[in-house]
Amino acid sequence: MTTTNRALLLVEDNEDDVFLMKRALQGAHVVNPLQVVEDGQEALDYLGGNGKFADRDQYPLPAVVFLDLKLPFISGHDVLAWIRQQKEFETLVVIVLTSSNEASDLSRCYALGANSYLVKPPTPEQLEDLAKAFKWYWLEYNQFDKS
Amino acid sequence: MAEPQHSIKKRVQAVILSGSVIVLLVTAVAFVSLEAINFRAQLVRSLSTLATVIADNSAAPLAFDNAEVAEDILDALIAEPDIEAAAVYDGAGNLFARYPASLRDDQLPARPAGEGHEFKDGALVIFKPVLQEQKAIGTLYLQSSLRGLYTQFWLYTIIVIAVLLGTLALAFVSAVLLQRRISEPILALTQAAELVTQRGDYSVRAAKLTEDELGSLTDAFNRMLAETQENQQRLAQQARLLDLSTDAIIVRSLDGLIQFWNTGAEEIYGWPREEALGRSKVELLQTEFPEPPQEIMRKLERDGRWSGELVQTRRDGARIHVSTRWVLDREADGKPFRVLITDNDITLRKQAEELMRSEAIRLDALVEQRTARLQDTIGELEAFSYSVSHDMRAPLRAMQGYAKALLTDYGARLDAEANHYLDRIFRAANRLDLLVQDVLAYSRVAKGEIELRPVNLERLIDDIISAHPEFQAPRSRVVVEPALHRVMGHEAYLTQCVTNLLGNAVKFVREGTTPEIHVWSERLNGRVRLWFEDNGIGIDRLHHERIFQIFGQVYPEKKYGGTGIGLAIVRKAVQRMNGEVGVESDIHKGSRFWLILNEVKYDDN
Repeated sequence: MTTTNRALLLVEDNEDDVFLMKRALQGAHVVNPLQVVEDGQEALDYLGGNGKFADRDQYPLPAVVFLDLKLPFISGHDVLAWIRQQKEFETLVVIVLTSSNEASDLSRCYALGANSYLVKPPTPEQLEDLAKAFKWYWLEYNQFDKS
Repeated sequence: MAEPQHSIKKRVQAVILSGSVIVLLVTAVAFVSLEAINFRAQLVRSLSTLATVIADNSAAPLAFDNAEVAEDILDALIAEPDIEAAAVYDGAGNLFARYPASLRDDQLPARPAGEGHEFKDGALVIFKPVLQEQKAIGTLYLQSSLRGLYTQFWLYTIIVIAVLLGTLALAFVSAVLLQRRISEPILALTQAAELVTQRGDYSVRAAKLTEDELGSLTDAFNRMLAETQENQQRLAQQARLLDLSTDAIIVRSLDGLIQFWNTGAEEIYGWPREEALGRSKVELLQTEFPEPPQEIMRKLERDGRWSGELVQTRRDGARIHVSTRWVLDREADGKPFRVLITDNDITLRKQAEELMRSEAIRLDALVEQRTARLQDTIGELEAFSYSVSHDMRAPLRAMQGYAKALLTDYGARLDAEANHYLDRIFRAANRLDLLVQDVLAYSRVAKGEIELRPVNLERLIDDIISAHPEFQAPRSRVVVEPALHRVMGHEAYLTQCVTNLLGNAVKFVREGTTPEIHVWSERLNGRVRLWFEDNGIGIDRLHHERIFQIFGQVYPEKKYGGTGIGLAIVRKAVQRMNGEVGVESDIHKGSRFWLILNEVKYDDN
């Protein structure tokens, strides 16, 4: 079973990384709509349905959140913590996607309830490999919470 | 030397003389008395004998009543000058004959008395019966003067007195001699003793004059003096020793008066001995006690000793700190009677301690301040490396990403040179990313606490080989000897080390050569040496130290790639695991890198 219609949310402030991620996902033939927010506050607003994000047709709740850690205003750790405090997002799949390979970041994110932790690969080829692996694992094999 | 009032000399004389006098007097009186009795008895006997003879001779004249014959017989008494009178009475008691003839009747007894004698009026008279055929026919009367008796008696008395006086003279002489023999040695002793007490000079000796008990006494006295002299010398030496001490040594009585005060005390407190002796220590030195003095005395009595620190005042008024030790001196019966005190001046030490304390506080503050600053710096560094890992790599990824996108999307429309430039951009970015990663890896192994655990090298190396295609055929051939020794290490650090060493081995080879790497381990004095032998280009001996320094690359990066940090990371990581790293190599001959790590001693597995 393939999840093709559900949205993916990318929380990323670096537009280059947004470009590379979009390109890698395309390269991996991921067809799910990709929503992008550029900072932590916007991520909270999107998930909480605040302001313009109240329109769930245009801004649907995502099946997976790609979360960068180093974000303006509210850090990725704080976004993750907030998500896990929300009853409705207890089971939301959050994949940390960051350039940090620091042990402290890893343990903190897993402790806060991240479902996966991915380090941004240095080359576009490797990023595309990562996107393929994501599609294969999370979109084709993984079963999401149905409630 | 004044003679004592009751000198031995006089006493000896008095005893000897009075003894002699008493003995002689008693003897003389007894002798004279005895002689007097003897004389009288002898006189009575001889007169009685004479009377018997005359009475016998008078018996015939009386029987024949011839008075003339009787008087002739009596006249024979003229030969006896002591006979003053004699008479013969007839049986009827009438005077019959007399001697001398001139004697008047009243000078004779009128009638004869019975037989017997009697001392009467300085004369001895005797009556004796005149017997004829056992029958008294008359009585003889004899009167003897006692002159002879008295003469002899007086002669005796004179002789006795003469003997008495002579004996006394002899006694006196012997008393004088005896007195000399006894008293002279004693006097010599006395003189010696007086010299000792007057001058305090124990080197004086008494002359030994005799070989008797007094001689022994003199010897004993001299021996005692010698011992005393020795003791005194020893005491003087000990006192000098006490004076050598730079500590103050003080003896005080139980009521606090100073009894002994050594040179050290003079120096510490500034009070000369003469002024300190006999004064109260507490008053003299204005002692400040660390606890109530009664409490100190209680402890002193209980434990026999006490020590502590006092603040006292010198003669010049300066307050000084002393460390003091008190020992209670007890008499033989255990009763305490004085205290031996040893003080030493710790004022300088106290000041130094005070200085050190304030200095320590200052240093503590400094250390705290520096530590805080250091921690700030470390924090900044960590923030820096985090930022490097996060922020610096992002633009690199972008450069690579866009260059790649350009190549992919527009490569066909660009000429070969443009394609080459894009490729260079892509590779430069790639290399910069490697550099950033290695710098981060180096800073990661350089900081932080690690815990060493037993590591299974075989499994660790196998895992590394599986994860890196460049360590596998056909790109290279890595042979790992079985049964590598287990070492104490940190898995992540060791992985980093092995990866870097294998990476170098496959990187630095002549073109066209397939890298071959041989890995084995050996034991070395309780440690383990892990070898990595390659068939690479080798390293000149000149560079063996430099290659382990950061950016110590010796081969052109263009030809072999690499960041010049890999071996620095290995060395830092090995040092953190208490190990060593080194290389044996020469140019063109391949390299043998080694790691030395501690062997696992007690392995649970």
